Amino acid sequence: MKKSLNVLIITGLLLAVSVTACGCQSTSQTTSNSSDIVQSSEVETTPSSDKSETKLDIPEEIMPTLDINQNGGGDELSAFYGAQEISRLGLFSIKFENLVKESCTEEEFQEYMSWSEENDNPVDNKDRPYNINEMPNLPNVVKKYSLDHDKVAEILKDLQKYYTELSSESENAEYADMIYTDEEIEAIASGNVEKCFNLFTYNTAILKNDLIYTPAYIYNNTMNKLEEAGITAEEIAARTEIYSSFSLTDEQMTALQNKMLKYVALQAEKGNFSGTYEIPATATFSVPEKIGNATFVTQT
Amino acid sequence: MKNILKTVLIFAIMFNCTIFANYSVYAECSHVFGEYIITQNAGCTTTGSKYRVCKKCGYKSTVMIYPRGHNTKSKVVSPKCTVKGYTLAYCTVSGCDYTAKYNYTDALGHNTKDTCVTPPDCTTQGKRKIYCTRCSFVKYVPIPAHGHIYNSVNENICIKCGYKKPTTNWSYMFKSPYMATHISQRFPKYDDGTEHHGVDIIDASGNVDGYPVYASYSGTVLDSFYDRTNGRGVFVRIKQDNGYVVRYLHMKNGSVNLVEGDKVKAGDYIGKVGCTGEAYGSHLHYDVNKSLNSSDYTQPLDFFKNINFTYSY
Ligand SMILES: [Zn+2]
Ligand SMILES: [Zn+2]
Ligand SMILES: [Zn+2]
Ligand SMILES: [Zn+2]
Ligand SMILES: [Zn+2]
Repeated sequence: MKKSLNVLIITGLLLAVSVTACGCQSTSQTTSNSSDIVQSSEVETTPSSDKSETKLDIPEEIMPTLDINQNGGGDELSAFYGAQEISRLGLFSIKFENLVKESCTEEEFQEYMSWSEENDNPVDNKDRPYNINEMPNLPNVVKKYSLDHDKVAEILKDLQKYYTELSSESENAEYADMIYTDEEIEAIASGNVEKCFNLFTYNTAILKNDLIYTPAYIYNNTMNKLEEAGITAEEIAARTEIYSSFSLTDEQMTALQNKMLKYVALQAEKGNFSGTYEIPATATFSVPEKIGNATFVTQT
Repeated sequence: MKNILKTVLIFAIMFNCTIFANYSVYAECSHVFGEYIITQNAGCTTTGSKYRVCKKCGYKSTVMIYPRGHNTKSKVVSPKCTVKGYTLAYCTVSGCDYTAKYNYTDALGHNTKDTCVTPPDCTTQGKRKIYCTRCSFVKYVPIPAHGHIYNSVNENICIKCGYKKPTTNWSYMFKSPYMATHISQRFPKYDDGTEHHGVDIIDASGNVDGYPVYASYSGTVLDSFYDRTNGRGVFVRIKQDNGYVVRYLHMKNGSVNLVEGDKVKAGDYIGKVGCTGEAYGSHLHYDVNKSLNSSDYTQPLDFFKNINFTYSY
């Protein structure tokens, strides 16, 4: 009933506008008329929500499936599926592997091998957050198998020195990214998992307590789930640009951008976001320019 | 007994009255008939009818005319390129459309000639025209580009088009990293169109798990790790003596013993094919970076021109 009333009113307005537009006025006046339409339809929605809930209709974005490449796979999307900032916490050198082997029983080592093989594919992080205590990484392996502090530190110091030299020879930033800091070496060698993970700055993935949420997790989970994880609109907004650089298909990228926009809009509506959100040009969902105290501008 | 006779008689009378009622009048005439008058001519397969009338009593006698049967002739239809030949039987009676085909003979097949319409060159494909001299059949077939032609392996300039190989001071070929030659995922894009840094090599006819992997060129091991967070799995990165940095990803857990600084020669054993990291099915991901200074991946297959790879797409 309400809907048909709205339709009636809008049709009436359109009629009125077209009548005035027919009066052969200057173009500037016609444009002001068309902006009248926008304003009036806004006015139209406001009375229907006197009880202070200007509920926007933000449906869950339907995400195209993340296809796995049959008989393929690589590291092209490691920043999307994995947590690139903690990359070096997942690098196990041959010397480190040997240290694990000599520090535990044959049985423990077999268990270590299968545990790490079952958990070495970052694509799984699209369904579950990366748990820093449960997924194989240097500090938790040191802790789990009580590896000798000094032996671990020595292996890492050697690598630190090696990559410091290599990165001075090469302009490729990849090698500089592999240099462990002294602080990291200490945290790893002493098996202090939490401290170790907190030494890193997370610009792409998001660390919440002991869990790391990857871009793929954000892609693959509902807005409700993201909210439950405590992911804020600020965190999403700060990552929109970085996420736009992933090598996804066009449909996947549009869906990801729509999802981020929808999440920020939803949070803005709840009063949890008051900044300016720059909507990527390829997002196809549209929101009003103002939601609560937040501003939404489309990139050009 | 009397009764039975009576009934028979009654029946006989009834019979007479109903069936022979009309004839009973003519019964005693010895008819003298006139000429037959045809009311319906017989066709090849349809009956006709005629009647004649008795001049004395006017009795009309109607007779069916039997079908005449077809008046067949036959002719031989010769085969065409794609149509069989046969003997065609047909009926000469006008208005009769009876035909029958028998004694089939095989179609001739096209009598094709093959001409080159556009010759291929180094990088663009050409076109061949295949046509039939008997009928209007025409088909165009692409001729693959023949690739650049060099006088020798060490030559850098194509003798056909003058194209310069993007390299100078290194021997052209790499040694095959292993025994398989089927490319399941190409460089620079996966089959879904997203970026792929190298090629994924499998064996089209079997599982490659555990196949030995060899160094494609002499060089120095840059590093080797089991990457457990970013998808590379067990990998080896080698700085080749020709300046290229190559990577071997997803190798078998525990199969690699090389460490940074180790020297390798072309063909040296590096480890085994596996599916560690972001891999679906055992395969070797092999990629080639132009130099130590860049993250600039290049087409690995350019270095294996002597191998005939097959492709999934
Ligand atoms: Zn008669
Ligand atoms: Zn006939
Ligand atoms: Zn023909
Ligand atoms: Zn050429
Ligand atoms: Zn690959």
